[in-house]
Amino acid sequence: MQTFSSLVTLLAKRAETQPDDPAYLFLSDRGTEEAALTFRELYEAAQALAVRLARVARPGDRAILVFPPGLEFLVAFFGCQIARVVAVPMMVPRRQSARDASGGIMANCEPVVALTNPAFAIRGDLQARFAGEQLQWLSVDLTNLEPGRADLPLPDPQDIAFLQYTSGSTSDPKGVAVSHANLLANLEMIRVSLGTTQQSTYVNWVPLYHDMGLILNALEAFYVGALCVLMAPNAFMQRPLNWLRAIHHYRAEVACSPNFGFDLCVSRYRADQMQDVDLSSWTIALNGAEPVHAETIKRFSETFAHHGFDPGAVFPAYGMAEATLLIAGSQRGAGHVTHAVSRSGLQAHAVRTPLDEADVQTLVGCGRALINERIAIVEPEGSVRLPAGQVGEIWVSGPNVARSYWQNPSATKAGLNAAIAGEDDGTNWLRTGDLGFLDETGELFVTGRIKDLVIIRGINHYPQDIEHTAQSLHPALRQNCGAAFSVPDEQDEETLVIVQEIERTERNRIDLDEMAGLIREGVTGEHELFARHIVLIRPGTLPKTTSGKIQRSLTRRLWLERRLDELAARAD
Amino acid sequence: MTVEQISEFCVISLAKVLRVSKDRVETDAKFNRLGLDSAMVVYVMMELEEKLGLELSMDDFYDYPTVRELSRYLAEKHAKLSAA
Repeated sequence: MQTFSSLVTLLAKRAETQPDDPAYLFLSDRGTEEAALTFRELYEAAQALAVRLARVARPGDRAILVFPPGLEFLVAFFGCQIARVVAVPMMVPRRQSARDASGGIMANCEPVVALTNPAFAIRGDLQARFAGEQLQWLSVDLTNLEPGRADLPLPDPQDIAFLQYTSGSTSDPKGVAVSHANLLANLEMIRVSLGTTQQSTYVNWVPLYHDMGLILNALEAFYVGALCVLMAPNAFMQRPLNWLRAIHHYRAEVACSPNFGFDLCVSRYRADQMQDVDLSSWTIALNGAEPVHAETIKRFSETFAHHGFDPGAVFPAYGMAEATLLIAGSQRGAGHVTHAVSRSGLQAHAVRTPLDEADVQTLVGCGRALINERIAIVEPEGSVRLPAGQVGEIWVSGPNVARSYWQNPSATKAGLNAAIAGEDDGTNWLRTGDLGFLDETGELFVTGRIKDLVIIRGINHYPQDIEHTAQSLHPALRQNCGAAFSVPDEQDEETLVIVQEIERTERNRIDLDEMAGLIREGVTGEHELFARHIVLIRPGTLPKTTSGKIQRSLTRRLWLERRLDELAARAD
Repeated sequence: MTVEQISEFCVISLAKVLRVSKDRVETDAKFNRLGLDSAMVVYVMMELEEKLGLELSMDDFYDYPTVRELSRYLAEKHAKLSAA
């Protein structure tokens, strides 16, 4: 494909060569078409917004994007690109939550503009939450589109297009600074891997503030000149089969979801609601953003086989914001690779033949390195490269890897500018924090994480944030004496466990059930997470290092082995 | 269906999604207190919709935040629908 220096030149090209083709469609919760934009309309609306933006912001300034699901977000995103303002997509905070990541993000990126839609512009709680001294609110109204022309200088390839805040805890958010060059490199890598064209319609329910929704769907479709049909994440959660109906209706080729979304479709399957639904157009069913389960793939393929679903469409993938998005993926039509290894071996980070049936763990391959990209498996302590078949940290290098985290030189140095011992070729490596191995053919298998991170339904949660929420609820819950982690449940889905010490002096004054209920309620309210197991323990019994660091993985193991000093018998 | 039947059905559905035994789901406990997240609300909502032949919204779970309140509301809604 022709190369472009920025998203702006690409947008101009699309508006010129296919002005009246639909670029984006937004479906209502009922599945009807609620809004649409052609490439020309998108370009004109984005230019009109860029003119307004240029009045209040200079190139390089940051604008936060706070939108409900819909097409206004895309006008805002492209408007920022034309005005050379750095876009910062934000998750919309829940009304009830007292504390979320937005405060930390605002402090880190110091935005001068907030972009939103007319309905949100009058929501006082949002204005209050994002209140900043210099923050100007601009509203994007799709019902009142005015054609605009912005004669502004074009962005350079190294200019930052947007900041993606998906890593880092609430108190220390890390914004991946994605340049136009990074973005265009990854969009091209994805195009080659997926083999998509102008005819490859996409149907997407993943939110646009999530990199999977924004890059893999909204921007990738735009990059190849295809239509992207969008639906609200909540509409999918409520009626997942509507996603499949839309794939059928628009004869879509590409539809992506974290693993849980495929499970959701299977559990809500009703034959009578799916009559005449034909999924044979679906050639890329990409599964990424959380661990890919062999069992999920099998169940989904079996359930939807008689709707024409092709098992060869299953496309496991691996990626993260630091690499713009995609790091590894299968090849169109190639299907997926599985590898049966020893479960107990993996716990010791080794790839071994299973001892017996019960010891079998089936891993799903996430494909290979994309074009112009390298993946290395590295021993994390000494930074030594490991051979095929050995488990180590996954490191990545390529034109899609961001050069920095916004205003965070120490995180940049440690996470994005790593070097492999004995290899002095000046390559900057991304340390993913994930563990895995490559087989002899270069297929990547992800086996776990080094960092303590709770991943549930495709969303990363930092354990320290959850622990902090719990400890702020009652004085009997000791500060810095809790551990949050996840364990697989009976269905092999990750579920949350919170271990928390109780103050000695409070032990006889409180009701343990009451404490557990308090924690469960607080954690659900703040993090949208169900704490299935709440384990209250005696003071001083939480595993910590000599320097006082909480040992979450050791706590997890002790809990699984039922060796923690619990205050009450486990009721579950 | 009577209020009692709907309440019993809610409890079974909640116990299933929370993976606890039925007797641990108190009908006066707030859904928040039980730890129900929005994905779980959706699950229970779908089960109720199917069982009662009604269309519900997530807001119903916020407006009637306990099994007792929700089942009373649903029983009325269900009765109206059957009478119509």
